[in-house]
Amino acid sequence: MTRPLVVIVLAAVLTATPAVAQDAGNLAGMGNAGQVALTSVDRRLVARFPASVATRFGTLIDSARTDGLPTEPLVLRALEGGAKRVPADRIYTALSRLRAALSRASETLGPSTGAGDLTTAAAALQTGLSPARLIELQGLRGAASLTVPLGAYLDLVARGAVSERAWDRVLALARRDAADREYAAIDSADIIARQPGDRR
Amino acid sequence: MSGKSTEHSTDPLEAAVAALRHPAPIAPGFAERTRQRADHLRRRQHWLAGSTTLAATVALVVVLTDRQMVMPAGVTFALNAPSSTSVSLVGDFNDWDAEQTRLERGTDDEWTVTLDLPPGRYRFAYVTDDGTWLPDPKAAPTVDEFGEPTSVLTVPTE
Amino acid sequence: MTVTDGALIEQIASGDSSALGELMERHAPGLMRYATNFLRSADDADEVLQDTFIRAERAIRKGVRPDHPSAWLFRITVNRCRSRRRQFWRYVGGEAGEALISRASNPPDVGAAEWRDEINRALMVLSAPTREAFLLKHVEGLSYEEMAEATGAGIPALKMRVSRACERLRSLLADIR
Repeated sequence: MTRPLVVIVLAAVLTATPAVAQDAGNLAGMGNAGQVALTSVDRRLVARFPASVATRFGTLIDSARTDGLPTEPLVLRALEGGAKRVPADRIYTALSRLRAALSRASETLGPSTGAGDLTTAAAALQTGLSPARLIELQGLRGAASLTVPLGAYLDLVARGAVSERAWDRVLALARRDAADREYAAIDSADIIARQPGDRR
Repeated sequence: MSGKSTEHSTDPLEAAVAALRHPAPIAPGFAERTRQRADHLRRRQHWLAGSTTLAATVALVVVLTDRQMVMPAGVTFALNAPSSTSVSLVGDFNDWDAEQTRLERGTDDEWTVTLDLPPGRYRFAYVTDDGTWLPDPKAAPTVDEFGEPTSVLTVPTE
Repeated sequence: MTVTDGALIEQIASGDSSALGELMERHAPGLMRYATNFLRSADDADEVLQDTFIRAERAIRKGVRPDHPSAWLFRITVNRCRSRRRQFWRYVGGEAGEALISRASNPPDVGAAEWRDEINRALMVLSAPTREAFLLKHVEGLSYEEMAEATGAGIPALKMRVSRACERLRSLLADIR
């Protein structure tokens, strides 16, 4: 993107449905035993990989489902590897690592954490963020999603920011209940340079 | 802390817990008021369901600065690739399928496409006609165990 | 013979409004106490509880059959209290919030009548998730598993919050008694 991005928000904002009705809909998934587990291999994997490879990936993904972990991030990572023409063994290793990180994220944040938050938390754990820090952020955010603050942290570190200072900046925003947009406005430039006492 | 706290305890915490355990009064007619409110909401919902003027579509255009990659809803992806004859966008939003999302060439050799994306965090990249993988120059890079340039963006909930 | 919560829920699903009344009678006292302690307002708690039962009834009619009705009702109440808290803090944040903290940290010489007020003020000094965890654990007596279901948080996080709450409350209230 070589010039400022143009973002068009096309949001159907007013559904005007009473909040109670919306919540009742959201609650529909709570407490029920849920759907029967889908044990067949995801059709996208079957379409992209040889049968033996798809089955191998499918077994790993099924085990994640059994443990109550979201499976879509694993399917997508496999598809990403396939698109990049990566050997199956390397994809399998990447999936195993991601599955382990999702499991750690779930143990840390709780079983009812949404798939999006778990996936971002797993990415944060994979870059070395400690579970205690995830818990700290969760405590500050309450019911709000962790994806934006964790995403901001990951982006800052990816751009070269010192991780400690990137985390402090994100946490400061979380403490004062900042809007999502404020996380996007953190300027990585002024936290890239190392200061005395910084740890990588 | 034990569950046997009393208000005569010398531990202020146990004394506080004992005070907090006193029953909270429920105002008379609570059940009836709840039923009336539920009926009212039901009637309102039926009325709203029949109305044709309920939904409004709001369009906003936000120009992002260089460093911002957290963006709401409709996202325009753009890449300057003068020597390419086609550019595809691949990512978590289209199953990494290069056939699904092709960018269109505009003026100044810039290729663009706009997608409506639900809130979330997405890995993505561009693939040109000669099979070259390119990251988004403005987005944050992400860890790529597969050895190709990959970018990431966050679509916020608000 | 006592009808189980599960049986009541089936009756509600089939349109029996007296079953909803029975469910309210069973669970409203605990939920009301939690909401009142969390929000520090009987009026707000009353409204939150109405919302809770309206949402519960709608969900049941849509086919929801909670495995643990009590924790499920707590979950709805906890969520409604969270929403209500966000509205509340829009009004008393900033300087007013600071004043609240200052009063709890430097209490006047109080008698028994003011003790409850001081507890309330001390509770409000805690962050909402910490207060939530403390009340569910030590006042409502939920297990950590039930708390995880009610709040959506992980058990390690809940334990940390409860421990932090106890430590903070002890320190805030120590000088008052």
